[in-house]
Amino acid sequence: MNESYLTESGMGFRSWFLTRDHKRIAILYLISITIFFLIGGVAAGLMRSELATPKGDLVTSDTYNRLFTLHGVVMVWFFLIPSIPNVLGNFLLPLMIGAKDLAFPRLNLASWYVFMFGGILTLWSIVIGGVDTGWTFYTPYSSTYANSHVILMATGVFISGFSSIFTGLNFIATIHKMRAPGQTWFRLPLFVWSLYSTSIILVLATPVLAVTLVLVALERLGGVGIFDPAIGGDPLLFQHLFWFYSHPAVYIMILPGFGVVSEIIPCFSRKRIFGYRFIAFASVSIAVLGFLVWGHHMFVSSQSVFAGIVFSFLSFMVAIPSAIKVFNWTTTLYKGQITLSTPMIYALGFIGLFTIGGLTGLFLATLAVDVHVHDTYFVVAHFHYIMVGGMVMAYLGGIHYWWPKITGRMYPEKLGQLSALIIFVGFNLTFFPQFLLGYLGMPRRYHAYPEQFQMLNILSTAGATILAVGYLFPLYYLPRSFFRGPKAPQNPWRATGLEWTIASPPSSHNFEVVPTVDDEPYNYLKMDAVASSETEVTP
Amino acid sequence: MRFLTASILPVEASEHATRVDYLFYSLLAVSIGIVILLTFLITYCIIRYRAGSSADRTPLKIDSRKLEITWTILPGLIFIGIFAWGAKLYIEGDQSAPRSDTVYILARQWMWETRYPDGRREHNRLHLPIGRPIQLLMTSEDVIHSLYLPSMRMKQDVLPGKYVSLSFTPDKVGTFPFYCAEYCGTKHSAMIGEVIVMAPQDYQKWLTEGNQNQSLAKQGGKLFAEMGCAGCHFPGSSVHAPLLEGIYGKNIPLDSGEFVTADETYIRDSILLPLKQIAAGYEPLMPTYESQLNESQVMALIEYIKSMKNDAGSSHLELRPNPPGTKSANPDP
Amino acid sequence: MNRDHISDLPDHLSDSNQRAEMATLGMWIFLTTEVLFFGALFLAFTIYRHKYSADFVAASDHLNVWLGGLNTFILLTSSFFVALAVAAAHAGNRKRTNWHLCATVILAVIFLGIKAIEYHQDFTEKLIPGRHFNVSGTDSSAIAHQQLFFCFYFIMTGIHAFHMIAGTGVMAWMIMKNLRTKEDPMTQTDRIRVESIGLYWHFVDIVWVFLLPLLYLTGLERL
Repeated sequence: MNESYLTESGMGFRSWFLTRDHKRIAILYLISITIFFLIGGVAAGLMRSELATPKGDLVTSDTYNRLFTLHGVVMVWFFLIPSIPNVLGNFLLPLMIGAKDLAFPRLNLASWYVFMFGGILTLWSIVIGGVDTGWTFYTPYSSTYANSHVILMATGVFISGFSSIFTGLNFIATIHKMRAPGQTWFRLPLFVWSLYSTSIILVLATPVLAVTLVLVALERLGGVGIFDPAIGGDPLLFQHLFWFYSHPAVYIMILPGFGVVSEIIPCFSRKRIFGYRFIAFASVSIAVLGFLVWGHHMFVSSQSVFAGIVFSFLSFMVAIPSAIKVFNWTTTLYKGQITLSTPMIYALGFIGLFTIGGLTGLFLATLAVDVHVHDTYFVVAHFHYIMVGGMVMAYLGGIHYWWPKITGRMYPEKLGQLSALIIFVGFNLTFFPQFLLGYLGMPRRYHAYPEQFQMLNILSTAGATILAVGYLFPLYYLPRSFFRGPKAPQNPWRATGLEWTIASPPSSHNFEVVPTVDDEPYNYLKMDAVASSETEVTP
Repeated sequence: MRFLTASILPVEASEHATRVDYLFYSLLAVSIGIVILLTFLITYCIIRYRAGSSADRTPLKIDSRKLEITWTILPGLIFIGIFAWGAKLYIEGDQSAPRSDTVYILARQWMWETRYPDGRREHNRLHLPIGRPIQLLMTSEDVIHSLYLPSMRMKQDVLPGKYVSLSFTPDKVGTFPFYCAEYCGTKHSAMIGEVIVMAPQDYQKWLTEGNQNQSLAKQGGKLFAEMGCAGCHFPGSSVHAPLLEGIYGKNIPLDSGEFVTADETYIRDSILLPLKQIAAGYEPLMPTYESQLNESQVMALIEYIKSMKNDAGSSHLELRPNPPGTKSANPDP
Repeated sequence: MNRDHISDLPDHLSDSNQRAEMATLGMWIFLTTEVLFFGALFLAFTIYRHKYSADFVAASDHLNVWLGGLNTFILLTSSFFVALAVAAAHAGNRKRTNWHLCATVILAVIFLGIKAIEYHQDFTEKLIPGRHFNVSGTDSSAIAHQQLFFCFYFIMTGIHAFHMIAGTGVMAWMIMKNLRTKEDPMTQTDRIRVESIGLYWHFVDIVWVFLLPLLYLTGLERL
């Protein structure tokens, strides 16, 4: 048995915490973001429990406000943004392009430390009393009125931003300069295209968030600053700067999901993906258009009617590439050889939930409708369909799909399928009622609510319980399979792609010889033809 | 039972609400159509093309580029249609009817103060007559709030330091909730109230009964005198100050060469931040009243200045005679 | 393929050109993020500059244009020396590289010293935003807007100075490293390092070239 990256340099403290191996760093990220996911999840659970009854009787309103801030900040910056890029991206990008590591291995390790430092500051701000501004930090509430540890948390998020920038920078340089011989841009797996688009956003949007948070923190610190209406500052300017980052950040939280799904669907349909170039360009155009639609978060903020119309129009335009992707994935299934393995169930679940999330996005882009549903549970449901229904489903699908490669072990298939279904059902039960709540007029961030909303809230809370159970399954069987699961072969799914041509788990330096690429990705017909001819030769 | 009816059909209490719902349900129909289509296609593929099934898998001879272009252009056209519809409604909803009644709303952590032109004021309640266009003029004393009237399908953020307006015409008698929709701190979820839409005669009765206050404009007139505004803002003043009759809604030329409409925000800023926009041809002499007046008093002053009618309709304000409110003016500012 | 005599290539790379290109690309991407970082500040400044034009001009009058101008001259000269350092590094001359880097660091320290003197003057003239802020003027809104200008002034020049301190620190580290290393000519790694430092320093310089007209020269409108 060959040595793998898991065993080669030993299991000592230094071998993990000073490693420059992209695969080990990916594992560090995997463990850290799982912890953050649990913290954010507990906050969500407490919120849903509070909302089971109309009166605010489980926690005080101040506690509730801290809970949703904690949930938003932790889930957005410390789980969703790093989830697929920093775990799966870190692990797979060099493997998929035939490289030994990322362009800047030390920077990669630094990015994990920066991430953890930011995360710990954020957690510390929660431990010493929390923050009650919501993850959006709107001024002047955050800069003047909030009576909580805004500066500390803003610093935490600011620092973790550098981790995003380092990762984006590293990925872009890697994709540009380290592809294997013969791997042209259009021979890249679509996951790499999605990482490339994500990195562009990480690099271009994060600095704007960074400077915005610096301005808020300084304003709080000095008692005076550029968003302060008392000296002629404009609180809306904050919203413009914040959403200039945060809308593209939404695409950071979904583009890598597109990439994962584009890998899984062709593999379990045994077919070349339909419309490769359209899917690739759709990712890039989403990344670019994503920078031009931030104003749709501000339709009722008293920005001008003209601005509202322009932003609404551009928001509809950004929906087109998303639609293209969904149609291409569906067409890929046509005339395939479909197996409903766990990753495939997650991928199909992704398509369904993302479609609903995307379509309700159209409601929000429609000016007159948005005026009604803005800042209600309709918005909450919409972005959870994208973030959780989309990104988390894709993340779990990807984790299952590449689990044999990462750990060298197989996960229990039946249990995997079951938990994927439970998550799908639980998710819909949690968030679908929230669309109705929103249309009926229940505002978001409400600690207590009028009685007529109770029925739907109970449904949602019940769904959240099922969802939580669904998430506990993989948390149990995946670590268990790491120790006890059956050994995984090199390519358990008979998938195309360079990462499947090397051992599971790979050795520290990935490739014994530099691979060359002489074919387009996802050539499953050729792969299956070769496999069947081989079985004929050796009965 | 009560929450079942409320859960299924949201109340529509204005014509605008009905129009928004019509758009919403159309969008819903399109969306459901797309979801059903996709679900059908995916389910069909999963069953018919499950691994090992005997279905025919000879590749189709279709031009994939044509297919791609179709499903790029077709949704694009639908999207543009929906966009145009939504934008049209948004613009219509934004325009206030010319002869609408005005109610002032002051938001603060964590209550809504409503003030009616005739001087009545109340908290967390908004009384309105049915069938008349209403313009709400709103500002905040502290953070950003947002007035949300679900039954009217209307929402507007309420910002500090600025007047924003919201217009609609209620067409259903009844009591409907309103909420604060922009997170504003500890008791955000308690910052809620009721709109009470009444028949016109009931509304008139309600306005007069139990109202001990003078009209809002009168209160403003009193302040105008007390604060010494009239000392400068009258024709015979030795100080060269703009006269205010009929100034509301005018296009004011500024020192900087720009023009600004004299709306509520402009009047407010002129009182509290006078040097922000200097009217052309005037010296920047006006002192600030930031420390002497609160938002509530500024509201009264705005209503008073709006009530100072320019009977001749002349645009040359300097020529207008003394307004009645300045009679008791204290000439010492 | 490998033109360098001294190879210190990390084992995940196969080719030293690849590494040089990669390092430069990485630095450019980093500078792009910096452009966005300062860009957001410039944008915010421009909005207010337009909105409160007269007050910003008045506030800018309080700044010392001569010290600002002198600093511009110093910073541009330091950029000249860093360019010389990069050229010397390309030639592989460790000693000459170091002399030029030293000149750059000295100029940077002088710049920061002058900046500190300016801040001290601002402090004695009560130009620090906050409770003690005090500029002459009858009108509170004008004073408020001038305070807004000074918020921008301190944030922008402060962040710029922070970038300079960081750059100076890296250069000092590079100088120390060069002094300790005997081998000549320079290794490729060190050449790439000096080149990256050069790129960064030019960027810091360019930011100042934008700051000078925005903050200091605004007041000259009245002359």
